[in-house]
Amino acid sequence: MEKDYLNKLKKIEQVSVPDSLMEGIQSKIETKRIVDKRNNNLVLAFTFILLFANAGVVISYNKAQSKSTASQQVNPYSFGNTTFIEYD
Amino acid sequence: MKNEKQFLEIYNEFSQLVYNLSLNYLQNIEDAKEATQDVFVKIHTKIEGFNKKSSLKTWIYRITINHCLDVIKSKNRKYRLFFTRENEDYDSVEFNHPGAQMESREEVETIFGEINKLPEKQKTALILKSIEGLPQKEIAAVMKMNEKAVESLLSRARKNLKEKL
Repeated sequence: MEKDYLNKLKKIEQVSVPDSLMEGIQSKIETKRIVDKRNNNLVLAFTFILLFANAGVVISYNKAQSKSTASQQVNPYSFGNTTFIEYD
Repeated sequence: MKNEKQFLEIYNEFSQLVYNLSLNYLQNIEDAKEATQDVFVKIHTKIEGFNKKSSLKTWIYRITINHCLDVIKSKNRKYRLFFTRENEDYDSVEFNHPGAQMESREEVETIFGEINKLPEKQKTALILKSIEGLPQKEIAAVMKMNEKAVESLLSRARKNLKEKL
């Protein structure tokens, strides 16, 4: 039986390739090219969005920082009102 | 691919090999056609990165085998999703192998039904040896194994088939 089935497998013939195969391959390659290009554009767009969002966050943070340091600075002219020692 | 002429040469040289190997794995003309097209799209994409550590033929064998095994896995997943029965698997797809001779068609279908139930490596070793007629050394190169391991896989595959047929 073993030899029998092995012989049957060996007798399986090689068949020729269908004619329309190459056209299908070319169309799939073209579709893949378009999809890849679109994906690359999406990735690029997403990268730019991220970059601008990050830049926005950094700029607004810096602005907030500079505002808060300015408010913490001592105004020498307002100093007199509270600490000035009055003499009779 | 930069050189379309080179791709055409590869297609002319290997399309029959890829198509027939796909038929032996999938046993269905439509699936084999689809698989052959997908394999050549992969070859087109990956050929520039081919590092020539193995021969082009061995590399194409590997791509085809891996793709066919992936197709079978994905079909099995879909089958299990829709048919919850345990034994409902890809081998129950309509057998349509044009290389099988008319007079022994039913027997060949039964043999393939059993081959489909073998573990992937045993199945691959058996197909490459008994249908493709590759020498053991070449099978070892395709499967990235040593010849002893291939021999052991073949004997286990034959033993399993002998029990079932």
